[in-house]
Amino acid sequence: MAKLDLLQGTLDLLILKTLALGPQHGWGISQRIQQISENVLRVNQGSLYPALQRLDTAGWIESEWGASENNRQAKFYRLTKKGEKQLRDETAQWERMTLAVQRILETEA
Amino acid sequence: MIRQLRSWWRRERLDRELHAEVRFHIEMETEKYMKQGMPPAEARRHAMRNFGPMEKHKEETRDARGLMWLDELIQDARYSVRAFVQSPGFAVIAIVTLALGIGANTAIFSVINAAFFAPYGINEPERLVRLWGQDLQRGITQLGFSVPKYEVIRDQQTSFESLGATTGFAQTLLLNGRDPVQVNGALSTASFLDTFGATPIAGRFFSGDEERAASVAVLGEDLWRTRFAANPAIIGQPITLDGNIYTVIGVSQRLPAFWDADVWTTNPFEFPGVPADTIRRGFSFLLPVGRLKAGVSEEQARRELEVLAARYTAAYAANADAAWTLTAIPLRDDIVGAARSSLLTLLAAVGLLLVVACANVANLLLVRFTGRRQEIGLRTALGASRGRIVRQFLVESLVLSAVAAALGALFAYWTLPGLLVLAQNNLAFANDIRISLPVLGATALLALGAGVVMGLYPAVQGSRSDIVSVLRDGGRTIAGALGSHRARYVIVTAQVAVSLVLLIGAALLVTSFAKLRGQHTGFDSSNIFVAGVSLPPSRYPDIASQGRFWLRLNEELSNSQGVVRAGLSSQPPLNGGFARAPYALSEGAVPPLNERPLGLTMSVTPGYFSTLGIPLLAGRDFTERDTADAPLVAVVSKATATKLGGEQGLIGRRIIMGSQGGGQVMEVVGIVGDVRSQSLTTTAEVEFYRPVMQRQRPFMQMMVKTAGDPAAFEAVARRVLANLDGTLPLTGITTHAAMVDQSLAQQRLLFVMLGTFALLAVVLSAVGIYGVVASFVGQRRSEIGVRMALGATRLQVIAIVLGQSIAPVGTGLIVGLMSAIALGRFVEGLLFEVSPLDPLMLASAVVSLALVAGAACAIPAGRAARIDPVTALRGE
Repeated sequence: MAKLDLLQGTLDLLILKTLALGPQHGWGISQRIQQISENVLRVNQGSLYPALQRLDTAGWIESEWGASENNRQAKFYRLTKKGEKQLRDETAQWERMTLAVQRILETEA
Repeated sequence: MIRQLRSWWRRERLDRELHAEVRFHIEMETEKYMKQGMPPAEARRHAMRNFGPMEKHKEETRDARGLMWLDELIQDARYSVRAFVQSPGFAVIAIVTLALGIGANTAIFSVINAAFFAPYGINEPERLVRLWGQDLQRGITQLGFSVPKYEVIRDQQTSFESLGATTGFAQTLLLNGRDPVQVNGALSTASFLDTFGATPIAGRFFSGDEERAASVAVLGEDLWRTRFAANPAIIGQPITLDGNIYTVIGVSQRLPAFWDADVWTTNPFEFPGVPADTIRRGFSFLLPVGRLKAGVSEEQARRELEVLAARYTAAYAANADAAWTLTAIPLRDDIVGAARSSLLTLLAAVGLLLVVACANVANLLLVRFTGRRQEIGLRTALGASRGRIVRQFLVESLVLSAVAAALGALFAYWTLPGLLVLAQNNLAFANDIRISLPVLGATALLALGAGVVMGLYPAVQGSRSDIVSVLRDGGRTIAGALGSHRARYVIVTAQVAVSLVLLIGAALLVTSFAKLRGQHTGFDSSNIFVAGVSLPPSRYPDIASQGRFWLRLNEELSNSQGVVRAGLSSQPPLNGGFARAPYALSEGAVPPLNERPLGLTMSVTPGYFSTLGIPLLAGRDFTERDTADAPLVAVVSKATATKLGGEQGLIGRRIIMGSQGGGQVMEVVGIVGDVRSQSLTTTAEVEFYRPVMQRQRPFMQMMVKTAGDPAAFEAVARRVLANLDGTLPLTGITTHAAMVDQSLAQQRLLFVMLGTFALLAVVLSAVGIYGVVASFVGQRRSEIGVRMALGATRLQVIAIVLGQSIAPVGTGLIVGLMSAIALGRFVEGLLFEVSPLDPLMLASAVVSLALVAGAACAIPAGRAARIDPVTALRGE
């Protein structure tokens, strides 16, 4: 099964997007990303954690320990105000870029 | 950054959390597959596969926290400390060397900081300027203000937010209503303390309506603490000053330098003992300071003062100070004063000393780092980058300099009291000299700089490593060592050059100081006891009563046990004070008061000249008959006589002296030898002596030549004084030799410190040269063995070794000599009768250093000559 490698920036964007729906722990985020990308984008699950740390260092997300759905201790991540703004900015940029790519492809065709 | 620092502090907890988080992830993923019906073991395998390389991800997560370099840095530092503990000899030598260099800098920093940056505890000192009069025609600067001049400036100026003036005056304070003590009084305008930016520690300062004739006083902090036990209840209490009662209204903080006083009172426009007429005519005793308005520069203030001075000249053309111009200089410059160039010289000198110390340590590091080729080769082979290795070495160097900085600060802390004793209260800002936070900050920066500078080259050299050859040759390759050997020569050259510059500087200052000490002063200070007595105007109101007292005191002293001779003087030579008065020959057309030249004047009793060994060249000494109702007389110095038309025939002629009533006419009755009374460096000035009995002099100093130790005379002096008047204190007890010594304190401080620095630099250089030559011999053991086996004599071997050091030492001497010649003009102003280009001085410094260098080489050279070829070759 050919799967696309995830670019770092893309992964960051997907995490932010996921967390925009509500606080979630690491495993939950990985499931959600696979779900929304319909398994086309396969995250190497471990690489989620450096990304989470990166976003935390940047101040876009914050974390807190809490009880998971099966009542175990898990670290939950939540979007910060700064993170929300970042998500809006990056989404807008993504849209501009994909639109541009689309136009190029259409012209070729 | 803050976020990064926080996660760095919590790194261990974060690691535990990460571990827990990953475990939770794997468990959830495993459960997911188990729910799909997989057996547990297989589910777990799947989960692990999905997660990917776990350790790699964890490492990346840690990296993402940032500041990982901090961890590595700490690792490096720990490693360095371990390495130093393993070779403590190296570490101790390097640290002590560097600590000497850094400590000397810290000590000088504390002085520099006090001089140029200390806030003196006052509000915005940078806005304060001191106002001076100057008589440019007669080349006299730093003159005070007269009352009318002060009034003109005060009422018409626009540059200053406020203006204040003060004048110092010794006063007698009665403690507990009976014990007299002499205090430094200050008569000030009501505005003075506020203008200065001082704050009251207790109570308040003067109000405007207390400026004239109000009997209120402000105590100085020091007096308040020492004599009044810092008791705030003193506010509102009466004190007795010179027989008058004052009410204490406040206590002032300490002011910098000579601006401080024990007791502040008002009524500054009258000067005790000086007639009102003299004061109106331009008697200049007020010392004004101004606080500049925000945004007004000193230059603007100076320009305005020039305009106002012209107005004063026009309005008071007949006054003694009419022709003087005005200037304003920043208060800080005024306080630092003449010490400025000495301080900058010392700063440069400690900088150079640190260079020598760093060079030594750099040399040691070079040997140490290049000696670790095998270790480095191995680490490189295991994947360490060169940058990583350079960093490791640099951290080692920085650890050394950090420890040395701490030790150096301690050195400075220990030596500072000695330095202050050496300065003998002769540095106006001595109170502010301390190892403060800014001083420590500067020290830390310096240590950081030193660590990088001395470590960088050795680190780069040491990290250069060809893995294959290193591992093959077991680290004995000479190829790399040659390059580092050249570097060591360069370091030795620099050390020798810098040491020579310091040595020449020290030699110049020592010679200059010796010349100063050896000056023909014109007086003999040996065995002279000095102490001051001041008479309260309330009980000794006029010339007659004061004169009678001084004569009796002089007589009683002369007749005391163990006294050779005694005399009193208002200004003993080199006591730091002076008074000048206009003078002219009272014959023909006498020039107006303000065009007469100024000469030093002092009041003495009969016997003063012979007590100090000042020769009477012509005429007579004063006698007890030269009283206030006898004709006025004066004795002049030889230089004065020459200036007034020759020694012959001056006796019996009349001069006009002083500004009181346009000057008083008096007869010259004697001529005495010239005396260096103001400073040892200035030659004969115009000096007039007058009998104290003919002048109002409430304060005099007794000068008693004793047969034995002059310091032991104090008890006798107290008894004599108590017999005459039990209420008078004896003040400023010292000897004249100490007074002369004190006048040289600044020069002594400079030469002792520079001498110490030069000595340290020479010793360090010698150690450096020794180290380089010794390691050369060590590396060439087998080569020397071969040469000896082939028939080289011991002398030839010694020649080879010495030949190694001739080039770097010789080059260093030449560079140092040229630098010293080029730098000479910067110290010229500090020297007395010595040229910075004195060939004998330069030559002897070069020769001494060459000899020291030779001795440093001789030890390893001798060792080389004793090498036994058989053992040397077998060792190979």
